[in-house]
Amino acid sequence: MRLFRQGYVTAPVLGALWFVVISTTVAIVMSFATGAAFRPSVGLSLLWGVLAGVAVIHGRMIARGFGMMVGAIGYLGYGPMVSGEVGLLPAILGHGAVAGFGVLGLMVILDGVGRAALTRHVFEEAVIRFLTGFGYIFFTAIVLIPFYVMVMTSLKNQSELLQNPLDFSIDLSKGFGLLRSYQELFQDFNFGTYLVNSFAISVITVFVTLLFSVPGAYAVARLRFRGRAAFSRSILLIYMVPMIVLALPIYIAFSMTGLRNSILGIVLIYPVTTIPVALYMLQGYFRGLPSEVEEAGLMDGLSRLAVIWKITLPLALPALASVSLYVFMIAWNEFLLAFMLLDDPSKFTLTRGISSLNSSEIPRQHLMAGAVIATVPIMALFLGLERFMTKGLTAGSVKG
Amino acid sequence: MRGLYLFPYVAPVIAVAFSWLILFDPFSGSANALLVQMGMTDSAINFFGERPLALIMVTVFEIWRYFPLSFLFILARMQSIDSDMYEAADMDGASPFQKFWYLSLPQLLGILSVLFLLRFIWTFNKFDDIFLLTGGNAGTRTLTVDVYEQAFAISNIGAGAAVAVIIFSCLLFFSFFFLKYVSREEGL
Repeated sequence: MRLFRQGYVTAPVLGALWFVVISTTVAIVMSFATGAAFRPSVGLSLLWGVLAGVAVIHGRMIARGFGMMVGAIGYLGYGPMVSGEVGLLPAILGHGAVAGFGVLGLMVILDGVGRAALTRHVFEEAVIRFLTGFGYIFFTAIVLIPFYVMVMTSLKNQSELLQNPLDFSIDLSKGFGLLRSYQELFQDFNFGTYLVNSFAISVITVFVTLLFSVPGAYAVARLRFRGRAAFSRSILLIYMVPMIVLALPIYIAFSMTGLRNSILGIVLIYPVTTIPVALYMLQGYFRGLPSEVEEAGLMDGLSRLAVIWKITLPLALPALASVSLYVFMIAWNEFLLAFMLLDDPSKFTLTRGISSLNSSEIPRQHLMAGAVIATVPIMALFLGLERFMTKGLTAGSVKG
Repeated sequence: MRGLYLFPYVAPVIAVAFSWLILFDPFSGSANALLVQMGMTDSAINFFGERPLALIMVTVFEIWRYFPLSFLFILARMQSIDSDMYEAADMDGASPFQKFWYLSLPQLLGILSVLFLLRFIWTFNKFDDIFLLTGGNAGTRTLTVDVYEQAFAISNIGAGAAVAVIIFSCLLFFSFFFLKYVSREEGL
């Protein structure tokens, strides 16, 4: 370890690793943005990274000059990233980005690292800054790439997609023609109906779930009755039963009673999956509320139900909001039951509608446009109410 | 911005599963084009259709989809750790790695074991993701996909129900452990 804690060892090693990360990232970003041939060269990245590490610990001016040199050399074809036949602007942009992010990032990472032996603190902080930068890049990339592909594919047409699968640049001159897949989905595939169905079903599910889970959670959290502990545990157990186990009996029973292929049946069965989750989340929250306030209410002559209505629920509003959001999300995203129980296209939910697009006759930009239509509302809701959502998720919601 | 990292978990499974299928398509997928361009492979790879690879890809998908959840739980636990302890460690001259190893990690052990058990149970019981990605082909037929295949694909409802019973008994077995540990950790 002591060997590593020399400025002349730490800086080049971190520099080499950082340059590999940056050149790979920039190559992927540029390929996805322009469709042109960019690729990182691991050997050259390591070499330039080592030199950059040495340059950075010799002072800011040397480092900046070195950065410009790397950019220029990259343009000539021997930099950390190699570009094939690309235009002038993408080439300058790409190599500039590699040199800039590489050297400036390294300057931040190696802040305080000198030429001589390093203390343990300086060394570990530099390593942690490197890992932080890498973590940000890595996680952002893996989260964004599938969604980026989803949105961009939905805006293209079949021949463009087959010609160059990497080219996600958008031809803005087409104007509204870009949204043709969406237009066709709403006109020819009834996606407007699916959207309304999904929304109605989710909202009803939220209300039904709250109607049952609020009193249930209150009972488990506050009242003393025989078998309370067993009841509390069985909620957790039911909560863990996978839907596929229940799917068969539900399918048979619904077929026999004629509830299959009806919105009523779906509205009846969705709360079955969400009530245990809501019960579990709410009882945890109710337990955290001070019981003295409720006891004071009881002393003043309110009935138990009035106490719940006038005291507990107003206090639990944030929890109710996050539970509602979470239940809405489960109902909106539910796939298995909708897939099994619905056959009639006029009653499809969005998820069921998308799965009906998955056939070889329907072009895949339609499939992706459907996916975008299903994703955007829940994302918007989630980003708008993120505070409640993150709280709700950690408040014991582990279903999924 | 933290909301961004929760996208994989919040988005409908059908939307993200199909995006993955299109991203890793063997004929015109961007991932294959990228790998060929970078010189990692000569011919296109059939990510969801070959025997060992399909199982790996399904596992990667599950990791991708559920890392945000664990992320959030660990973060919430981290934020509730008392900062006094870190100040005391700073006074004693502990280095950043030492603080992580000797202070943070022991505090996180509880939530880590709960997450491990829960995610294990949930992933064991997962149906939608695998069904949408591979349909149980190429060595990815799990018990849950088997229920569907038996009951609906070959219309043998009895066999499907039998597999469902097996899943349920596995679940009972796992939840025995879960209740034993989580009751201690979360004070249920």
